[in-house]
Amino acid sequence: MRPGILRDDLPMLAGLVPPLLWLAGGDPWLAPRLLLSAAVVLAWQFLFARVRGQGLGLHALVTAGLIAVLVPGSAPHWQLVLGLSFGVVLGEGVFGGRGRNFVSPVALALAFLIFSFTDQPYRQAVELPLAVALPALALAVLSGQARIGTLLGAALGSAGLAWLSGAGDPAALLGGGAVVLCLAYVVADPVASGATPAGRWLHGILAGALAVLFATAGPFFGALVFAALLSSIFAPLIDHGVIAVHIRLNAARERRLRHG
Amino acid sequence: MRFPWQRAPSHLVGGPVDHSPPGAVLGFHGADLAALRPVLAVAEGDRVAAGQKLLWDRKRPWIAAMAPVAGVIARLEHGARRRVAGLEIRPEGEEAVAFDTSSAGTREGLTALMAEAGLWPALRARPFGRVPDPDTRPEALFVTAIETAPGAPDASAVIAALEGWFLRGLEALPLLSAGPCWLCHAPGLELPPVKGVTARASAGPHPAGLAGTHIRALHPVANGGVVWQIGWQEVIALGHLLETGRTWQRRIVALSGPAMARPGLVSVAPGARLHDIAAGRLARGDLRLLSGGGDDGLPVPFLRHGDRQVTALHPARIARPGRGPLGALLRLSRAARPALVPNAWDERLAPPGVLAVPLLRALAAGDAETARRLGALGLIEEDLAALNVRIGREGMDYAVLLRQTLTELEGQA
Repeated sequence: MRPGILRDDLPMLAGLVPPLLWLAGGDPWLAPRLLLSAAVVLAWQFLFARVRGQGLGLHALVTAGLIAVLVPGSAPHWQLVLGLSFGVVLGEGVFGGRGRNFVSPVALALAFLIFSFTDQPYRQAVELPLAVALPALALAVLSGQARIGTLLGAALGSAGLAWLSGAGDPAALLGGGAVVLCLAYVVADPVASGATPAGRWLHGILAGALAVLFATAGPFFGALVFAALLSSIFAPLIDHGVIAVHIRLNAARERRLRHG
Repeated sequence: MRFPWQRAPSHLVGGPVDHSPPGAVLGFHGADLAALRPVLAVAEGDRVAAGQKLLWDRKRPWIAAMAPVAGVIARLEHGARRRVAGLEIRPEGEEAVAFDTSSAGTREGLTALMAEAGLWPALRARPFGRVPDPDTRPEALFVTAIETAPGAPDASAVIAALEGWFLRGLEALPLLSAGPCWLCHAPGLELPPVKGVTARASAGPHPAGLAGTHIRALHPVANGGVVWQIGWQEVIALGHLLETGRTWQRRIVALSGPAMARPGLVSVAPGARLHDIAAGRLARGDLRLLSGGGDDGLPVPFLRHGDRQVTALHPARIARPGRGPLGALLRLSRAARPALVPNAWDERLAPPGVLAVPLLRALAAGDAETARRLGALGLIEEDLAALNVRIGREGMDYAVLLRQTLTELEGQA
């Protein structure tokens, strides 16, 4: 499919609709929270578009929607504003907009909230059944943004390390819809994850393994957020290694074919 | 709406070849005549014979333009810096230059004949895609006898119809190369073996039919070395020249595109005006005619040398934001330099064997060294055309960026 709103933005937005509807049933403050998140993200995007010419995009609404879904209902609004601003400005804006950042703004915002405000249960996953988050996963994969290599790598990394260390039942780790949403939108973010096929697998494995490692010290959702952040910081290094190997292999192949 | 997993319908244009008369005027677009220092041999109003040399480059005389058909020079427009901006010929008469093909059995004789008849610019060297120096020898020569671009002519069918000339041209080509001569064709093309030419069938969706794919598969030049490539129509023209001693005054082009009401194959004079070629076959309303495919065609008035397709497109609806707050918002939403967001469906169109996202990022950042290490030397614009039409934007045209990077690498070499 051709790039555009229909392929790139709408599936990601549509994937957020079931979780939003589910949460709206139990949380009367979801709609104001969503509007506030959207206002904060759009305001920063507007500022950067005016000053730096970075352009606007519908992906801002995806960021806002994700934060509105993944933060607990008791979160004070001023904390949300701070966390979102930190994530959007330092995770996306200063680098030149979406496509030029190397961490996911959602991961950065959630990490900021987790380590800054210990009075709120940001580390705990929001109560979301798995079935509500699976359409988001499917749409992210079908639209070509979440790559299967990253997702399978994350599953492999977490299951592998959990089995090796005997830390827990690997299947139970995938219990929540919030974890699946985080996987589909944050770990498998096309910009923050690897740029090469092998790099994407390694990035996924690293994220999954780190999540299990960090989960020994807290809930799995918080661990996954930090694991996604750390592995997206390492993603360019992983790609660098993959590219170096690719160049070596290609040079050897070329020598063989040219002087064959 | 077609979903990504649905296979694109078979989109090569086949069928009977219609004959199109030369029309009122043929011409060369200014950019085609962009030789460094042209030496003009004709003036406005001169009668020319088919195959007569019109102009050539002062420093590289093997880059020459010759008259495709006999006629009168209707218009000769000079451009800046003593260049030629445009040249038009009104077809008249039947005179044709008779070339002496007796010495075409040696390499020197063949290169001299091709340069004299204006067929030498059909060859392109990789890397960089320039017309090669006849005194140099490539490590391999690639004949591209397969088309996979949407709307391209079915090369196998046309070659089968003109098999005699194609084989005659193919026999002569191994003289030029210092190494193997590869014939890359679609599966199903049955040709008798030609001495010195190795045939190889390749199948698959676009870009499997591009020369860059075959070169990467058989004799990659991303880390050094030089190969030459030539298209199947030029091989037919060479065979015609060797058989008859006269230039081939026809080319087979496919008319296709969403605004082409009656697509098909047409035999036209090289340099014919696009509107004359497509007369009677276009849909009603506004449209654009491109010489070349939808990916990398140019909206020039005349058929360019080497193009096998004429594409009719509906005019691009460029949204021009108007005044008022909504217009201001739309203008604000356009990024000056749009960034690349990797997507699986776009990376399928990348040239094979190349890491698409790192290469595109290196091209966008102007990082020529990284682009070279990633294999940019093995590419020319047509290899990135399918990808560029998807993800290229106004401020970020990856074909232009590739050419800038190649120019920088050429300067370093």
